[in-house]
Amino acid sequence: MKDHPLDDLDDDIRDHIERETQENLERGMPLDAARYAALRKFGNVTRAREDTRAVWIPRWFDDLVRDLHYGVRTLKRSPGFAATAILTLALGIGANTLAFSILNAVLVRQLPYRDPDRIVLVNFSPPNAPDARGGATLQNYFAVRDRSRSFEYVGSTSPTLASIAVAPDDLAGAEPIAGERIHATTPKVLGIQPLLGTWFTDADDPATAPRKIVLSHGLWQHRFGGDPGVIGRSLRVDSQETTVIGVMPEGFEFPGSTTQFWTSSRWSEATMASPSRMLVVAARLKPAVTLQQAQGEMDVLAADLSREFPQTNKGWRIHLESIYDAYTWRARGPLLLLQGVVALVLVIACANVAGLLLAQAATRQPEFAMRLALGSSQGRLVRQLLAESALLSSIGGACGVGLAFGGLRVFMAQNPDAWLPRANGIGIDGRVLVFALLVTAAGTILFGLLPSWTLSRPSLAPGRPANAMGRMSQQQIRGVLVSGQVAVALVLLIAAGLLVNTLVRLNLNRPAIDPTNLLTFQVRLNLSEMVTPTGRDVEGFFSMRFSPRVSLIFSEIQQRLSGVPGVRSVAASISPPTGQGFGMRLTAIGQPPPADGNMEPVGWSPVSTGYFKTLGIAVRRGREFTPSDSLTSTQVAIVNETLARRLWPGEDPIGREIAIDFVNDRPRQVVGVVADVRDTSQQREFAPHVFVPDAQLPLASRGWFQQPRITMTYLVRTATDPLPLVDQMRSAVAEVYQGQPIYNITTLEEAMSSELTSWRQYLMLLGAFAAIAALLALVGVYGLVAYGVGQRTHEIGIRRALGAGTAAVMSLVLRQGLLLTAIGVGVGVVASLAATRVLKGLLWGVSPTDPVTFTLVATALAAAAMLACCVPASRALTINPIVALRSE
Amino acid sequence: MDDRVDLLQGTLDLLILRTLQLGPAHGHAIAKAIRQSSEDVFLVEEGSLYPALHRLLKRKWIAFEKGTSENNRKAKFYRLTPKGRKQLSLETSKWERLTQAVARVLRPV
Repeated sequence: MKDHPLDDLDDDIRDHIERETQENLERGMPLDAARYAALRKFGNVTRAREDTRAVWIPRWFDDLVRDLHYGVRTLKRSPGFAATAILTLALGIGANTLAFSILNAVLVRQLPYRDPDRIVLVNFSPPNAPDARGGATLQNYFAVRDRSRSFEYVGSTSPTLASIAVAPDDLAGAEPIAGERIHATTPKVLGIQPLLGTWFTDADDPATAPRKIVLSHGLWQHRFGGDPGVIGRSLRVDSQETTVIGVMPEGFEFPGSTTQFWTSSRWSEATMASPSRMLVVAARLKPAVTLQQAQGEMDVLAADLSREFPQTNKGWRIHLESIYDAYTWRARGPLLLLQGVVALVLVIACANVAGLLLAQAATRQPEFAMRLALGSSQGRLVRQLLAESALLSSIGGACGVGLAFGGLRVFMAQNPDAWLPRANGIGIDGRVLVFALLVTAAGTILFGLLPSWTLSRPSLAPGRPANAMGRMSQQQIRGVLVSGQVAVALVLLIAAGLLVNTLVRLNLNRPAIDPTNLLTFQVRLNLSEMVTPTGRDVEGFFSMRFSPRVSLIFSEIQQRLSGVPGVRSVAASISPPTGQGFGMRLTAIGQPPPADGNMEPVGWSPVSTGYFKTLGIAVRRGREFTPSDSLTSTQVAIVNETLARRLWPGEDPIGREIAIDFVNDRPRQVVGVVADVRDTSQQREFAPHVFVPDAQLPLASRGWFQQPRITMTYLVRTATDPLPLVDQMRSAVAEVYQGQPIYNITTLEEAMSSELTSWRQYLMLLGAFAAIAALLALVGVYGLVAYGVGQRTHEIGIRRALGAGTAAVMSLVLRQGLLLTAIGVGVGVVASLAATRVLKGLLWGVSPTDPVTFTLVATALAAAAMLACCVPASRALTINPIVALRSE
Repeated sequence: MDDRVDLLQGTLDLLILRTLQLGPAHGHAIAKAIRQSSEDVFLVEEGSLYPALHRLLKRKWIAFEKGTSENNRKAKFYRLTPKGRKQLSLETSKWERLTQAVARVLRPV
């Protein structure tokens, strides 16, 4: 590496002067004179050095280094100020970085597909909900695939569960995991190649093809230790020999991050007629085709399907949605709101630091006046102050990124995948760091420019104490800042208050299943043992017959579990009680059909005896299911209040008959009405629901229902904490059925909380930011009053000496703080009235201008601000007149 | 009255190049050579030699090596590069044209 010419510049200059001195000495000069002459000949050493440096290094850079150096010294002189400013900025920048790292992962980061902006999801929407994102029937999928001309490729997928075992006795592989049954063209839609091996081909689609599986990167790592030899290996997927043909790259997820494997769709004609809308259809637009053009084509197709398949498609619309929108629509509003909130937190933080700088400015005014008088330009001083601001915000920014890093770890530990799509990619990457840098720069300008501007124009009389006008106007600027901070903090607090209010209402106002001491787990029977294919049914479709043993085993398990000591009651359901159940079309026999001729599907759950008793759901009329409700007795059903109201408004539903559009189901008599309970879905109104005895499910069935039918969710109510009883329950089940161990063991408390948990997590984040904002604003109020007291020590001393009482002194120092707080609260309330409208979509049961929330939050903030004023004000009372008068 | 003259901008560069044409030299030697060959006519703070040297280094007209001088002192020895040599002849002819022109104007025949 070549030396830089600037290296040893000082040595060069010194050498030059020494040589000259030497020559002078040789000419016979005395040492002092020799050196002096040499120096004179050389001229201004400093200028020579600076001019030389300037050849290589731009002068502004040198200036900057000097300014920063000076800045460090200034900060060291007032460490309290520096620490407060840095901490404030760290909070502001940290909050922004944290929020952006979430926004970045969820909304900004590219989807893990090739040209994701060309990929659309084909949603089917029922007549009554034109914007709903419904799935497609198999028939619908083939119609889109074969008849559309807008798409390069069309693929589809449907969720499935399967146990993946290496060997028959592999216990680790007994628990079913989430995967997708995917049509072979889907990978072409996504444009992603496997990391190892291959994807499926069209030959893999039919049910007659050999069974094949593709593993996700995560599953491959966890279960197979990342062994590349897994390709070609045979696994037992749901006890069926299945060949591993590929492993997907890390970061690939489709359709969601929970998907751990993909198997071929293996569709058959039997599934063809299914009305079930289990398929998610994805398509890649042809290069020249726009989304609008494709949508136009889909509108026509939807009309055709409505005519051709009135049973499944009458009135259904198709609406295309970019895959980006499909993945992010739910999170977008909340995340943008969060980002807006932290931006305001940063504004408050910057206002605080600006206030601190202004306060500090007073002490530096003589210094700056002196520098101006000595010929320093105003621009030079602004630059100096901005450099100090930049120094503060860089340190604050670095600490902020650290805070964000810590905050993210806490956040990620809460398992945000439950409510945030793509949450597994949340982290601090290059883009987040660039964002933090931009925020820091923006902060520097926000809080640095104002003090620079006021400070660089001080009175030009050096030595004159900077008082009276100069400081008053700065106090006024600080006053505006503090009022503004209080106003912004109030807006954020009111927003958080409204959301908390919503959470409380979601929690309290809707009756729920009592989740205490309620254990749930699932038992899954072996499909091949329980199902016999029965060829084609009368309509020509493949069908199957469930063994009567299914119901027997399930009820036997229920009885065994009841016998476990400590168990109060046991119930079972084919669909977990926290979900929405399956959607079934239902008609009330003897009632006029609904006006639009199309009944929306209602929730449908096959449940065991004792279900409502165990879950604590009130039976309003009629009775529960009993063991006498069997396949051979009268077919019965129980409806919830919402469904009863909808079908028979103002009439007694008991004894009425309904027909459920489920394969081979016979008309049922309503024997009971139960209370509405909420489920954990995003739906916030009660949904109509019908329950049938699982023992009365017809044995003859068609394709799609086979998996749910053999999977039972047990609900065990115990006297005390149920978790210690798990082992006994496990062996009780094993006494009846040894095929598969019980799995998904959890308390209902946990299972039910998912919606509220996500709300709680989001609110905690938002609330934390609002709290930081409020805290910073209070620090601002406190700082202002404390500074005022400090500056007026002298005046207060005189007043005390002249006999001013406590009240007079308090009112003197409190007046400003309280006035500014009042202005801030007033402005904040007005601003909130306008601003909370953006929350509309997130609120439930509370209006965006809810007077109670507004009053409570405004009062609380005003009270806290008053307290912040009183602390320094009370210090004013302790001022000793003698000391105060001597202080100047 | 002092009859020395201020150096024109760029002239110092030319003088340095001219000096180095005779062979590598360190800073003090260059300053001394300029002083002596111009018979002390130019009013130049020797300190301004250094920015000029570095300007030339930056343009790659000269280069430097670290070496040891006659009395065992470490010093930077500056030397002309081929590029600098070309520049010198260019500047010299330009300078000559300029002085001739100025001379013609000041002392018309």
